[in-house]
Amino acid sequence: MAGETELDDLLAAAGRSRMTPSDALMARVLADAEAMQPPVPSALPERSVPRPAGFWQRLTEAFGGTGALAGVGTAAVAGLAFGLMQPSTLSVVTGGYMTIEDTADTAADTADEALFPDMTLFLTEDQG
Amino acid sequence: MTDARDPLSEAPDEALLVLYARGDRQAARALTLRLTPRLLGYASRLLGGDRAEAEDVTQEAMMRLWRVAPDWRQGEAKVSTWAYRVVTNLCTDRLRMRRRRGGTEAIDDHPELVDGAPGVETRMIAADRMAALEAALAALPERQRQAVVLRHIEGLGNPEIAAILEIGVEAVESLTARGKRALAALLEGKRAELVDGEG
Repeated sequence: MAGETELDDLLAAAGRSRMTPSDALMARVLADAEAMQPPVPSALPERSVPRPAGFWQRLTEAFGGTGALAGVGTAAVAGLAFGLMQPSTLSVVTGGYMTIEDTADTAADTADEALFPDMTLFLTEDQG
Repeated sequence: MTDARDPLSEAPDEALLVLYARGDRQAARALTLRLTPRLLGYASRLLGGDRAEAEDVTQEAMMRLWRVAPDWRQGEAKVSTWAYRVVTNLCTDRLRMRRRRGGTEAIDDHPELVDGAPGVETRMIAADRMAALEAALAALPERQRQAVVLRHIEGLGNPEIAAILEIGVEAVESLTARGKRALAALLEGKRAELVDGEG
């Protein structure tokens, strides 16, 4: 049997050798490649129809522009803040008309009544 | 070293195929120059040295590559692995048809050596040795021949050969080992002739 080293050398030599394709074969392969090549994608066409306005764009236009919409937004945030504030923080308003004792003396000393005092307090005439 | 003349020469096969699919003609040329000699040599050895038939198989394999290029799934398989598999299957079909017709496998032709040999005598000896090898390869069972050529001549790793032949790595190792033993036995008959040629 042929020696393993000899066989390996022979196989290695075969691996180093390459068949040279004929010019005709190369031409045929390249012709196939050209014939089957997908076309180069062209540039995207100009957009002829304007895009429909989006939700935010339409909303902004309805309020008269970005500035007006910002003002409305600010007012909305301020209103929300007033609504969420604790009633006790408004005592600076009601404190001038009624004292804590006044509210404590009433039967219903709820926060609502402290915030909105009885109308009689404002209608009482000064007898002095 | 980067070839400054051809920026595509260093690009991976897959990148060239993607470029081809996007309309790059230079990529097609680079891929053709890279793959065609390898596929032609492999096909020629599987077909027992029938060069004309090997050229047809190579052209068909490359045509299938161009066709599949737009739908190529990147990262799934190496382009060369895919191409070797196509050549393997095409050659198997042709050998089957040849057997049905009762034809014989051509073993006279063999790849010409392109690496330089120092002298005429040395070249003749080398050609004789190569002819003996090609004849022995042609006499191997088909699957052993495929495995031996891919492993020892094309220089591929066992996992890639397994992917090409669509078998397990262990089966590749077995085919390669048996193929080499058979090859050595077939060359034994030529041994005296080879030794005489060298002497």
